[in-house]
Amino acid sequence: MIRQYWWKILGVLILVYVIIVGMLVPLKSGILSSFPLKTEAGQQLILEVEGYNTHFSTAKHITAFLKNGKQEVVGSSKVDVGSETTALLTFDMPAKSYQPRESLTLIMNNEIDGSSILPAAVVFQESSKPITNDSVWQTFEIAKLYPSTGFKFPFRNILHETVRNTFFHVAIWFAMLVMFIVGLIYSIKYLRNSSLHNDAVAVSFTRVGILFGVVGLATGSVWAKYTWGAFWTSDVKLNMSAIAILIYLAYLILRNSIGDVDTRARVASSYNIFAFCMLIPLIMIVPRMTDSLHPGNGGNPALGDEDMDNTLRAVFYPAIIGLTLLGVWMSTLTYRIYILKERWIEE
Amino acid sequence: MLTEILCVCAKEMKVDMRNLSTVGSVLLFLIGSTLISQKCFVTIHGVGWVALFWILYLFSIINMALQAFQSGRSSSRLAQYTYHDGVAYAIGKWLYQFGLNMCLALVLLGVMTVFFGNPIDDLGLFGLGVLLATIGLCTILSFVSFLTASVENSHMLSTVLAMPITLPFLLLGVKVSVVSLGLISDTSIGSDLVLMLAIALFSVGISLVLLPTLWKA
Repeated sequence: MIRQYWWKILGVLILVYVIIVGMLVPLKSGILSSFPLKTEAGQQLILEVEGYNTHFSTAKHITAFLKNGKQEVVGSSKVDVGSETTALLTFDMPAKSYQPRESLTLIMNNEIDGSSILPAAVVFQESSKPITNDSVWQTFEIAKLYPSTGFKFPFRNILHETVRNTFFHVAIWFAMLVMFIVGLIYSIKYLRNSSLHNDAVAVSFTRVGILFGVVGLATGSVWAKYTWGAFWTSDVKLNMSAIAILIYLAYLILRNSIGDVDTRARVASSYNIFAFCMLIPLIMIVPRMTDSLHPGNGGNPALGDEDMDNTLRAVFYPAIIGLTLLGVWMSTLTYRIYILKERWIEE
Repeated sequence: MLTEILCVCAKEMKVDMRNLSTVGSVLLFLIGSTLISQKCFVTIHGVGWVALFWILYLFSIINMALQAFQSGRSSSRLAQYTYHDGVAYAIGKWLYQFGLNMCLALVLLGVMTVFFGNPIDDLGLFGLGVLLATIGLCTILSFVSFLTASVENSHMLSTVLAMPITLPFLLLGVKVSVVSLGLISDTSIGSDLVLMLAIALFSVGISLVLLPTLWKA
């Protein structure tokens, strides 16, 4: 099967699909920001809202709600639309507050965009001022939310458009793991039967794995710049993955510094197994045990329903398969070059 | 097996006692560099103390471990192969190394206390951190130096190979010692210690699995 070429075409087609769909499908509408940040019980609140990909002017039925921790809502009394993406919402805040200070979630709803949510939009405080209205908290059922239609990626606060990086950053780490696992298997095979062919396969796959790892770090770094504000932070996940890649780079140095073919293969195979066994705790276990900003670690979710939805999965899973196929293709090429070079040296 | 391990241990000690140059040079390095630091800094506190401790400790451990597997000639290696079981030999050497390194840590602590004073609040925690880090560092460095023993210019190579693997232990070790100095407070330091123990045991396990295949060569 590895000599046939249909899977190479398949891999390229999948990647083309991933790039086109992953880059062109629009995001769902969302709320970027709202102002002011505070409001008091029993007072009127005029909230200035900035939306993203929204259709405020075009939509006919715009409603807005503020939701408290007890799943109760207060609806807006007036909606003034400025443009497609800006609106002024007027709320009569109820006099009753359950806590001295509470964060309220803003929900906006119209028939074109469906509903969008901004968590912790305003802080609701107790007040000593005279009460200006008779509004009360109502059950959440009164908010009749329109469903969102069409094939769109979810809008996530902070992430915004960078949610598309899931298809590249996350998928390439998966593909890297596949490459390293194949490398590991062939290293074990080499130690069992000392066939240089196995060592050549192991080094080819490991090299491509390292390349994927470096690209994974780079894409992650760009993502971090947009979401955390810096290319590199001293986060445990980042440190550990950098160390893991360094361990594998050391594997390449080790190979280059040994002249004898058999010694090189044996020593490098042992080190490769060792490197893989260090990789798993470093990037999978350690970051999960301590605090980390990175999703999937330190109590942060990743790939769960909060982060992924079926539209993202429709591109994310193919991306993993496509990148893995591409990696296998690259590895077979590397393998052939390696074999040719070795033959050259021996002659 | 146990007697064999102890036998290897005792033999290692005898070899080192007969030829004191290895231990002597590392001790000289420790005391010398602490003295130089004292002359330069006059006094250091807190983070500087921790940094100096770990730098000196790391370098002496690296020196020790690299000597351990490279002292013998190839003919004597063959002799050892015929005498000992690979795993027992490795465990014996490792145990001796571990003991030696812990002694070095004590000496270093003593020397630094003399020159700079002792800022440690929680000596137990500090000791535990050093102990766990030593298990990990010792295993990794022994493994790497064993791996590269047959290669030319192996000192360089072992250092390059060992550096990234030792980093997690160093990071955790530094964190634990900073906490033990009372510079930062961390309620979850227990989980860091468990983590360190886990990685250390893990690396011990891997080394034990891989050593026999290398030993045959």
